[in-house]
Amino acid sequence: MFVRTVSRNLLRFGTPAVVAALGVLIITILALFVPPFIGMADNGDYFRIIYSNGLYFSAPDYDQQYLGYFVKEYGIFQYFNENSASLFSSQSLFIRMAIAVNQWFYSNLWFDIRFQAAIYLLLYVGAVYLLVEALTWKLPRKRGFIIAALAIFLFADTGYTAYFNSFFGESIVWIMTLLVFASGLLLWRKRYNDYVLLAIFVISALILTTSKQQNAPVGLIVAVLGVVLVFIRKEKKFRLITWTALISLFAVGVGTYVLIPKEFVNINKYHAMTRGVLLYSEDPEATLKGFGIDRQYAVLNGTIHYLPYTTVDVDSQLLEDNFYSKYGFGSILTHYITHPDQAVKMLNMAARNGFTIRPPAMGNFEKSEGREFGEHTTFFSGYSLMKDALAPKTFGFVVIWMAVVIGFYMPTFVQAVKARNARQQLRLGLVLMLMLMGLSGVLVSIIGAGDADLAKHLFHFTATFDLVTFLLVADLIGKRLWGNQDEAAA
Amino acid sequence: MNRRHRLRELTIPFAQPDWRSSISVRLMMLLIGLMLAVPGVAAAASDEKQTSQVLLVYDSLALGSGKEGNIEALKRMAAAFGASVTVQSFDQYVSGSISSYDYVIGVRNREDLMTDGGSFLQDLSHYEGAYLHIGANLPGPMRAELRLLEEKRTQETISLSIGQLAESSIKVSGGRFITSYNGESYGTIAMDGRQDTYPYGVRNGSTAYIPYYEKGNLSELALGYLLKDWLKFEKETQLYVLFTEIYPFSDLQALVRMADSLYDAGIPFIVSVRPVFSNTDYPAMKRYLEALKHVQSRNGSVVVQAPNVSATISQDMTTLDLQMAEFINVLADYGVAPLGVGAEMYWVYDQHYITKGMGAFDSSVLFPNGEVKHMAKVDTTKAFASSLYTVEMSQIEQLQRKELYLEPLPMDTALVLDFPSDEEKLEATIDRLVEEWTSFGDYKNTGHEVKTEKYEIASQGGILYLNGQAVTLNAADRLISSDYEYISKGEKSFETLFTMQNKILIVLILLSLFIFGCFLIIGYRMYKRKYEIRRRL
Repeated sequence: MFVRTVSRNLLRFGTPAVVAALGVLIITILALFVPPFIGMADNGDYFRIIYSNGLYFSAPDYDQQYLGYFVKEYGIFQYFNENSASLFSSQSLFIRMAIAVNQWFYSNLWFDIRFQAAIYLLLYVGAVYLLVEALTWKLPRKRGFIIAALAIFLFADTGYTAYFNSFFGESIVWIMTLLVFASGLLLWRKRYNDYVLLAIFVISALILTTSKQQNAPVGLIVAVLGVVLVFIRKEKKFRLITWTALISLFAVGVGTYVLIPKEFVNINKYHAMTRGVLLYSEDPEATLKGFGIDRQYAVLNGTIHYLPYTTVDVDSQLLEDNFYSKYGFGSILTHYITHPDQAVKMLNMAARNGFTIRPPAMGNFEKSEGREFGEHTTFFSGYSLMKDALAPKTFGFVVIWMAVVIGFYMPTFVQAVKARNARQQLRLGLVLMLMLMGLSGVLVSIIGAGDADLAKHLFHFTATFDLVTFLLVADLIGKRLWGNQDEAAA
Repeated sequence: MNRRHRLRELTIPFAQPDWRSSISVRLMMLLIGLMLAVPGVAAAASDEKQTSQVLLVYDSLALGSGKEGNIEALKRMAAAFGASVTVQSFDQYVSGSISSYDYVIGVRNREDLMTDGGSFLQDLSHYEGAYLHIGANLPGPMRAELRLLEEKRTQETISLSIGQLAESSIKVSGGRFITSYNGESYGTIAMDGRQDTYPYGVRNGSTAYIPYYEKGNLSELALGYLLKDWLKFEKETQLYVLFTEIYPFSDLQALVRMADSLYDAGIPFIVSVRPVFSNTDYPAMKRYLEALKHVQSRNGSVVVQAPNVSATISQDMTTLDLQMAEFINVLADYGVAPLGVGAEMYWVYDQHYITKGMGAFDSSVLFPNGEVKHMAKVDTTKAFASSLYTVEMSQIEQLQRKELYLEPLPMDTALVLDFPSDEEKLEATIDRLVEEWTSFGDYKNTGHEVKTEKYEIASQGGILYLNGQAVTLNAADRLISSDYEYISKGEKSFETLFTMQNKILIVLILLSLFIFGCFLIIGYRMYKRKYEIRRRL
């Protein structure tokens, strides 16, 4: 009797979305919260975000663990914290929230990063649920569960989830992109309350935009392509709220760019020239002349400021006066437009790194595990390893992939335009939105920092590629690609 | 020629253009060069005197107070006297270790710090070597030996003079002033509005005491006068002019012009040049080398500035020695002989930097610390055969002098100037030096050695040597061509085959287009004909 009740309830509540969410939850708990704990080693970026949020490196041998080992415990400042926020990021909200929970349940002196991972995981599981629900709602159960299985394969991959046990902004980027996409698709499918979904959509986009400096264009892209949302309902109230939200997003995008701290601008600006513009130039001296820079700076061609020893300090007044002041985002963009051969080479280089989810430089295990320095986990990493090994790593492939995906979704979009059904137009809008977000990541990385640290800078591209491909595959399985969108936006 | 130039003519004959051009002088230089057994000259000189082992123990770094930085300044100064210094706080001091040092310096920066000095003071009471005390709480036995009486004042504005230098309006809080002592005194302190004067420091044999010592005013340099006698340092010292901030992308023409102007004025100088670790075959690098070669020919000595430490987290930190050796080799290949290494103070207290970064050099120029980025911090510094103390030129200029010219300070000192960043500043700097009455030393007159696997670079008596061969100083500049293949075109295989294949494909495509065009025209005509037939019907 009892078994029958349980199985009946399981069948009743065990929708593909629930199964996918539970699958991701269990696998991620096994990865992040059961020894050996999986996380990400510090590449030197942590101090900027954690010191301003009241944490410090407490491990005595922390310096020896850079890049090699994941560190899970940090100290909480017990006195006045003189470190002002050197980094403007929505990530701080989550860190502070995690510190509060940590202090509540664990310790006032020590911070265990797994409290942060737990918060991220809850959000993540919710986002996975919403996305799979959007793709499997009203779908035959068999197809639905195939999609759910694929979702577990993709979303529980430790290439993505290991970021939760780190202070990298990628966790926020990944979760918020997922939420933006899921809430957008739910709006398309007219599932749940539109106002609630709109709120999730806008808040996630806001957090996403302000999570990393390079995401400043995301706010602009979502604001522009999100205009379709205004027309999905006829009520003035809805339209007013949507307009206000989109304008705010636009403003936040601009604001994020303006608030980028100078130190970042300098390192990235340095690489934008030495690892970008000059890298494939056949005559770096002439290229520099084109920017009004002394040709002697050609000796910096190809140099990376992350190397231990360099000729010049990236923040020196000399570079400030005679190098950085001579170029900016606009002039570099113009250079690439007028030198398409160099642009193509840079894009191909980006594509070579654009399919790597887990940056090769950082290890995943704690030092106490006795693993090798910088060793990566293979636990539930099938998707990331497969993608890294199989994806054709040229920009041509990216272009073809975009053309194919847009081609697949175009017929229903044209249909929707003819029928003047704004809601039905949303799907292609969302696909384009994600593609542009990914592309903006590539362009901002190349123009803003050349090829330096591309594997990490291109995380957003790889994330959006996965989400769009997942949508395409799910729609193919669900036969929803060209067919009747009936329930989608009736 | 004015009087000052005439004076220089007498003191630095080789630096004068008239003299230098004479054949006899050149022959003389060549002969000296051949006669001197070059390798090992500096090493032999350094072996003559055993390195002084100094223990520096302090109570506090006095961060945030006026005394902040005095420990670092003291470390730099002791290094300039060729001492190997071990620095420890009272807490770090290991009981019994005092006996392995010839000299001990105790610094008490904080009078209010409740520390009894622990085992250090206990060991000190039995110590028989030389002891210098700086600051508060002079231990009883030393006080007795110096027969010291002093008075304490909460706030005073003092004037300090020592040697030919003086500085007034120095604010001292909680200062102690020596009223009675036994031994030799150093410097004079006078208080504003009072007749009485007090010694800056006193020494009786191997026991010495300085009540007040801060970084950034004359008390920093004044310590050198006492330290020289206390450490029994007997070498003659020199004042040098040193330019920093010289990069491959500095204004090289300005550098050449400055070198010419200083040469014409008979002023030898040192340039501390930034190393380049990549693209050393680029024309831009060649221009840099050409400029340095010109500088060298104009009585400019070259020292290699330590590279900028941009990241200490990289695990691949082991290549520094190879990179430095490579840069030295690049310089030497071009006929430029670097004679030493310039680095911030903390480099000599770091095992990694000492062995990997400075290992090739026996001479150093130590600058105050900027941003400290340690890799493997150690307590004890390596002693260099020659180590220059550095003072900003502007700091010296703020001091009052008794004479127009400046005599050498007790330690070899480089007066530091940043290489001017624009034309106006360049002219001002040249004028400033040309109008200076001081006689500056030529760095290559003393022995220096730099060793890599490929080169043994040395200097002695004003002559530079590369692998034992005297370097010919040639000021004739070579024009560097900008032509360079930056991107290697890679090896091409089956080039003819692919060219042929391309041509065949082009022909095929054109043929297809032509046939397609024909079909299009034929089809159109057929369609038109069918339409016309229908219309007719």
